[in-house]
Amino acid sequence: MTARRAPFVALVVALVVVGIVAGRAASKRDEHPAPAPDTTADTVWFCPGAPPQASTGDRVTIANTGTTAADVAITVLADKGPVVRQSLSVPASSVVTRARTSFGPAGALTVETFGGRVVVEEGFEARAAVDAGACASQSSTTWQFAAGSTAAGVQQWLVIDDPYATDAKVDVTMRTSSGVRRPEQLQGFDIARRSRALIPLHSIVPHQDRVAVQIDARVGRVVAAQTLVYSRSAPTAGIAMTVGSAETRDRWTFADGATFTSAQTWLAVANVGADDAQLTVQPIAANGAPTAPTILTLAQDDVEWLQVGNCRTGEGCVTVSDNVAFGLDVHSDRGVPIVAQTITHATTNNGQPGVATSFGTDAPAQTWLFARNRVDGERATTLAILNQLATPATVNVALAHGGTVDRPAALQAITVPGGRQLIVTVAGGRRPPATDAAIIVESSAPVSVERTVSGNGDFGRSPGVAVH
Amino acid sequence: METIEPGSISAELLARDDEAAPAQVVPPVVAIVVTENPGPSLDRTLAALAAQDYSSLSVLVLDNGSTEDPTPRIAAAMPRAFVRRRSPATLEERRFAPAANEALDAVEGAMFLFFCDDGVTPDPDAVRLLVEEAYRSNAGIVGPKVVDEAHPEILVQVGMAVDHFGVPFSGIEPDEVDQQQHDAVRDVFFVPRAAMLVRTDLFHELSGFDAATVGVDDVDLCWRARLAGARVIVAPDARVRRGPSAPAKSPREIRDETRARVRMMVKSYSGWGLLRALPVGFALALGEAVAMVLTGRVRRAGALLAGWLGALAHVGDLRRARAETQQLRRIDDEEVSDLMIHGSARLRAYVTHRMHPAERFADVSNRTRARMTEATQQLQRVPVIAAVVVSLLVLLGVRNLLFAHVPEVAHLRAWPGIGAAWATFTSPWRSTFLGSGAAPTPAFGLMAVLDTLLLGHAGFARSLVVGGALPVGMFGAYRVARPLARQSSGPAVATAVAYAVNPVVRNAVWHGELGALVLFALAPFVFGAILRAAQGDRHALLTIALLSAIAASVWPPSLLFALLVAIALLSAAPFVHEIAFATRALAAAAGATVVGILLCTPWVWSLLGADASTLGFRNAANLSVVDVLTFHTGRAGTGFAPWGIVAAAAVPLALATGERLVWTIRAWTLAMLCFALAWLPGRVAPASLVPAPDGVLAGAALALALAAGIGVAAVFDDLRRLHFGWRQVLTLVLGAGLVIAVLGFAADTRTGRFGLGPDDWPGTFSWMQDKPVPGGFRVLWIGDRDILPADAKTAGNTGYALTRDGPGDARALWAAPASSADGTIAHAIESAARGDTSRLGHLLAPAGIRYVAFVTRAAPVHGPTGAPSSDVSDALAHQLDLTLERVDDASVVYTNDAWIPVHAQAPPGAPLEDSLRMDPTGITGVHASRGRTEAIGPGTLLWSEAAGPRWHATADGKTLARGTVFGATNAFTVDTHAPVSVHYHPSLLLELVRALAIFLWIGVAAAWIATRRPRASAGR
Repeated sequence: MTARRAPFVALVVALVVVGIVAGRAASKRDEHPAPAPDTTADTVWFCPGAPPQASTGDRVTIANTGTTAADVAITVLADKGPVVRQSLSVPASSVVTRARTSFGPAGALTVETFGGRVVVEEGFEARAAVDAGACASQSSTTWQFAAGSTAAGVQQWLVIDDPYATDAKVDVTMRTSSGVRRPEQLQGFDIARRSRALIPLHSIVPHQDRVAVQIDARVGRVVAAQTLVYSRSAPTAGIAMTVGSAETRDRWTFADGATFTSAQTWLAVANVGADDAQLTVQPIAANGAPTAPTILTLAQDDVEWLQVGNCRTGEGCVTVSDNVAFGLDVHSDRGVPIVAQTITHATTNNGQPGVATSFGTDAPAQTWLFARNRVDGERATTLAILNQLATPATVNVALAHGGTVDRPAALQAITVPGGRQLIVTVAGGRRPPATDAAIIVESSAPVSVERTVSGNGDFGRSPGVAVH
Repeated sequence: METIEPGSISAELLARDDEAAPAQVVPPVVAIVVTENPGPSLDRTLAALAAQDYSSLSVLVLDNGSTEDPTPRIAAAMPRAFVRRRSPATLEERRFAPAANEALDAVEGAMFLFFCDDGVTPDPDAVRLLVEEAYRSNAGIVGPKVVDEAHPEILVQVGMAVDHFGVPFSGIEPDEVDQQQHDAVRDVFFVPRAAMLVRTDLFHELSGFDAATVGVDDVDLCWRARLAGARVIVAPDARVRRGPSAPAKSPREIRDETRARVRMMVKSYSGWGLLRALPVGFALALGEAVAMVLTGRVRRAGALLAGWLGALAHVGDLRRARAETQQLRRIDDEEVSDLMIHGSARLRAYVTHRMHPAERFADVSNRTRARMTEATQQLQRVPVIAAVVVSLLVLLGVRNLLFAHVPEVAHLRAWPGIGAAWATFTSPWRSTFLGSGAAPTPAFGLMAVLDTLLLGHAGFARSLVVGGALPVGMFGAYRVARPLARQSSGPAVATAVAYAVNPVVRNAVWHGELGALVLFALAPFVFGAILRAAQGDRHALLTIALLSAIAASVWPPSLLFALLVAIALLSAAPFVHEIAFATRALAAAAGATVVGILLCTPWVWSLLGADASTLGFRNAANLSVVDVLTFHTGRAGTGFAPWGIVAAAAVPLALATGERLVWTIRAWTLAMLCFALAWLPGRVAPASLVPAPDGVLAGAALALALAAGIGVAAVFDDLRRLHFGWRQVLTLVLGAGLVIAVLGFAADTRTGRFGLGPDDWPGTFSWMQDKPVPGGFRVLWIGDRDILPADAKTAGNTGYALTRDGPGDARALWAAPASSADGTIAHAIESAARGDTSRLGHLLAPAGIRYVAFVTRAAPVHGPTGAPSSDVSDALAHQLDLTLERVDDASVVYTNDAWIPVHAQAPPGAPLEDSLRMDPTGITGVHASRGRTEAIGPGTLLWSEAAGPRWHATADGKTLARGTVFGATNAFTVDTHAPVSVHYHPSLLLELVRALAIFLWIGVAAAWIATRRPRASAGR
C-alpha cells in the first residue's frame, strides 16, 4: 500500500489557509441582525403626581377612545404604606375621571391598560388650580424641564418616580439664572424601588428667576414631573404641572400661543448641549401675517426666557403682532440639543387667569388624542392646530363619551391653511358640558395640536397624545 | 576497419562478427558511439570497447557531422569498428537523438544496443556485466556505475532519479568515495545515455530517442520505457569512467532543456498527474527564475521561462507526442512515481552541494545515526516515566472533580437518586419546561444503573463520570495506539499523553458540557472498535453500538461519531490507496449506529424535527480557524501549549512511511473533518445553534493524538534508517511539542477542576427550596443558553430554562422538544425584551413561575461568561410585577408578584383567559402527590403542565372536564369537594417500544459480554 504524502499535506495546508481567509472575511459580517419590531396594544402610563402640598383637586382621567373595552390596572406606589392596587374597566368610547384620592393614598400611579385605545391624564380641578396633561407613557434615564422658577412666591417641585423593582440613582442638574448648579444632595440621589421622591427645588436653589432641570439616572429608569406653584404672593397665582421631556432635540414646535394684553407667554429655552447654540424662533401667526424670526445665541448651559409678543424692546423678545394667536417653531443650528418649554401667565381680567406650561409637540401627526375636554368651573376648552406644511389640512374633531362618539358639525372639515395656526373651541360658552369627553383630532395631513383648558381661577395647556 | 554507407550496415556487420564464432553463444550487442568533432577521449573509449571481454560486441561509431573525418583515428584505435558518417543539415539533426536513432535502421539482429559517449571509458567487463544483469533482472535498460575518469574512487552517479518535474537528481554527494555503498542492483528512474544498455526490441518499440527532448532524451527514453512496463536498473558491478562534466549550460541550452522537460512531462504523465505536476512545476520554475534574477542571472531566468512558454506554444505537436507515448502505457503513474523524489531536485541538489559539504555531512550523518540508535535505546525508558508523570498530572488536574464537590455548572447538574432517575426514565410525562409526553433519554436509565452499582451514591457516580472522563479517555487512547509499535510503549504513551493534555476536555469541564466529556472518554474505544469491526470482529460491532448509544443518550450528536470516523477513513482512501478497509469500516459503523439508534429508541425519534437545543446544540461560537486548530473553545487553549500537539501531530506527515503514513493520513483526515465541523457551522450560520465544539473536537483531539503517537513510532523506526537532515530536526519538534503541551496542561491543574470553583447557582439559590408552597412552583432561568444550569431553549437572542421547586437537578437536562406551551414562555420573554410589556410576571404566572433568575455567568464567581443580553436584563428591571429578590455579581433574582402555583385551584367563575391580565385573586395552591391532590373544589383545578388531551382527571370516580387555560396549560372543572387524581395517559405503542428498548439494552449488553471472551483469547 502506498500513500500520497505530498498531495495530502498540500490539501491540509490548503484547507487551513482557505479557512483562515474565509474566517477573516466572514468575521466582518453582521452576526446579530436586529430582531424585527413588534407592536402591542397594551400600554403603561406613569403618573408621578404632584406633591401633597399642591394636590388640591387632583384628578385622574382615563379615556378609552378605542372600539373595545379596556381593562385597567392601577397601582399606587404610596408615599407611605404598602402598594395599593385597583382595577377597573373602561368601556369603549368612554371617559372615567376620578379624584386621585379615590385610587389610594398619595403617591405615584402606574396605570396599566389592556385593550382599547387608552389615554391617561392627570391634573387639577380646583378654583385656583386647573391643569390637565397626559401622563408619561414611558420611563427614561433622562428627563428635562426648561421652564422653572424659584423666585419669590413660586414653588418648584420635582417629582421623580421609580415604578420598577430596582432602586434608581439619579443626578439632578439645574441651569439657573446664576449658572449651573449641581447640589451635592441631589447627586447620586437614591430613589427606592416602587416609590417616588419629592424634591422642593425652591428650597435647594432659592430665588432663581429661571431654573431648568435635568435629571440623569445613573442606575435604573425613572419618570419625572414638575409642578410650579405660583402662590397668591406671586404676580399670577396658579399651578402648572408637566411631565418632563425624555429627550433633547434641536427643534421644538408649539401650537398654542396668543398675544393678548392680559396674557403673556414666555419661551423658556435651555442649552443642554456641549456648545453654544444659535436659536431661531419663528412665530407662525394665525392670520398668516409674515413674521420675521428672532435669532439669538444661547451659551452652553445657559437658560433664557424669551418674551413672545408684547415686545417693548427688541432684545430678549420674539416679535409677534398684537392680539393674534400664533404657533412657534424653535430650532438650533448644528444640531445643538436644546430644551424648550412655554410658560404662559394670564391675569384675571380677561377671564383666563393662571399659569400654564407646555412642552409643545414632538412631531406632527394626523391623529391626536386628549383624555378630556372640560374641567370643573369650565370656561372654555380650545384646540390650537398648527399646520406647518404648505398645503391645507382638513381637520375633524370628535368627542368620545358614554360609549358614543359625537362629531359636532362645527368641528368637522375644519380647514387649516398651510403655514397657519388655527384655534377652535371644543367646549365652553354658556353651557359647558357636564361630563368629560375624550377629544379625537383627525387631520388629512400631519399637524400639531395643543389643548388649553380654562377654569375659573387657572388654566392648563398641554399637547395631545399623537397616534402614529 | 571500413566506412559503410547508410542502410547497409546491419547484416554485414553481424555476419562478419560471426566469423569468429564464440564457443558460447551470447546475445549480440552493438555499441553505438555518437561523436562530433571528437577529442582524445574518443580514442580511449574505442580502446576500452575493444578491450571488452564480451565476445559478441560490435561497435558502430556515428560521426555526427564532424568537420574533420574521424575515420582514420577510429581505424587506428579500433580497426573492427564501423563508422557511419552523417551530414546533418540543421541544428536539430545535429543533436544526439537523431543520430542515435539511426541505429533503428542501421542495426539488425542485435539483442542489445550499448550507447556509449565518446568521453566514457568502460571497464573491460562492463558490457558483459550489463548484459548479464539485463537477463538476470529482466530489465529493458541497464546502466553502469559511473566513476570519475581521473579518480576512479570518486563516484559520479549510480543510476538517477528525477523529481516530479523531470529534473534529474543523483543521490551521490559531491566527491563521494566509492566504498561499494551503492553497489546493490536496483531500479532507478533512468540511466544516463552516456553509458546505457538498451534492449533492441524495446528501443524499436519506443521509436528510439525523442529528438525533441534535447538534454533530457535519456530521461524521456527511460520514462517511456517504464510506462511500457520495462524495468530500468543500475548494475553497479559494471563500471565506466567518465571525464569531467560539461561546463555550466548556456541560456540557450537551458531554454531547450526546459522546453524538452516540459514536453516530456506533458507526454508522459496521465491527465490527473499532469494536472498536479504541471502547475507546481511552473510555480517552481517561476521561483527559480526569481532567484536567478535576484542573483544577477537574468538571461538564464529568461531562458527558463522561455523554455516553459515555448514548450506549451506547440499544442498540436504536444498532443501528438502525448498520444504516442500514452499508447505505450501499461502501468499507471503511481508505479512510475515510486522512483521519483519528493520536492524539488534542484533545491535538493543546492542543499547537498552548498549546505552539506561531503566530509562534514558524512560525519554528521554517521554520528547522528549512532546517536539516534543510542537515543532510541534510552528512550525505551522514557515512555514509562512520561506515563507516570502525566498520569499524576491528570489525577492532580481532576482531584477536586473526583474527590471533592463537582460544581453544578451547565450540564454538570446533580444526579437524582436511583428511584428518581428510574422514574424519570420510565415516566410517561417529562418534567422539563412545561412538560412533555415525549420519551426521555436513556441517560436517566443509565444513571439509575450506575447509581445502583455504586450503592446509591449518585453524587459519587456523577463525580466518576465527570472526573473520570479524562483518565478513561487517556487509557482508551493508550489502548487504541498500542499496536503502533509492539516493541515499545512509547507511541501509545505519546498518544495517551497528547490526548490527555488536549485542551478540549478541560474546556468541556469548564463549559459544563457533560456530553462532550462522555464522548471524550468513549471516543478512543469507539475508534478502536471501528478498526476491529472493519476486520470482522462482531464483538467490536456491539462495542460501537453500546458506546454510541451511551454517548448519544448524553449528547445526541455522539450518535454520529462512529460514522464520522468511518467517513474520515473513506475520505482518506484516495490518498492511501486503500478503499476496501474504509468501506468495511463504514459498513460496520453504519450497522453499529443503527443498533445504537435502536437502543436509544423511542427517545431518539423524538429528536427528529426537534429544536436545535434539544439536539444538544449550543450557540455558534465565533471561533477562528486558529481557535479550532488549537482547541481554544474556552478557557484552556491559549498560548503556545496547544500548538505543541498540532506540531507533534504534523511531524509524521513528514517522517512516517508505509503503513504509518497511511494511518497518519487517516488520522489527519479525521482531524480535518472535525475541525471543519467545529468551525464551519459558526461561519455559515453565526446566529444559529450548532453542535458544541468541545464535543465535535473530541474526534480531532483523538486524531491528533494518534498522529503524534505515530510520529513517535516513526522516530523509533523510520528515522533511524535515514541520514541526518531536516527530518531529524522534526524529532525535536515532536518532543518539544509534546513537552510544551504537557507543561500547558500542568499549569491548568492548579484548581483541580480546570478553572471551575466550588460554588454554583443551585447552591447559591438553595434558599428557593426553603420556601415551599402548596402546589409547587417553577424557576425561570434567563441568560445565555450555554451557561444556564438547565437545558435551555432560545427566546430571541437569549436562552431560558425552567426548573421545578427550586434550582432543580439533572432532571432539568435533556429537555423535550419545544412545544407550543413552551413557546408562550419564549413569547413572553421576547415581548419583554422588546419593551412591549412591562407585565412579564403576569405573562409567566400561569406557568407557575415564582422566581426569575437572570444569570450572566455559569457560576457565581467562575466559569464562562455568557453573551451579554442587556435588553433582557433591562427589560426585567423594568417590569412592574417583578420584585427584586437578590442581586449578585453575576445574577439577579426577581420574585414574580403575580405568580400562580403549578397546581392550584381557582374559585368558580374566576376569569381564566388567554393570558393573565389582572392580578390573580382567589387562586390558591393545591397540595398534590403522585398525581393526587388534597380535597379541593368546587372550582377549577389549574394543572400547569402543557395542555393536551391525554391528561385526565377524576374526582369521586367521575371524570372531570378538561380545558386549556392561559393558552398553554390544563384546567379541570371540579364540581364537588374531593381529592382529584390527575394522570397523563401515554400512547400504548410508545410504552411498548420503551419496554422493548429496555430489553434490547439487556440483550445487547449480554451479547457483548458473551462475545468478549473469544476475542480476548484470540488476541488483537
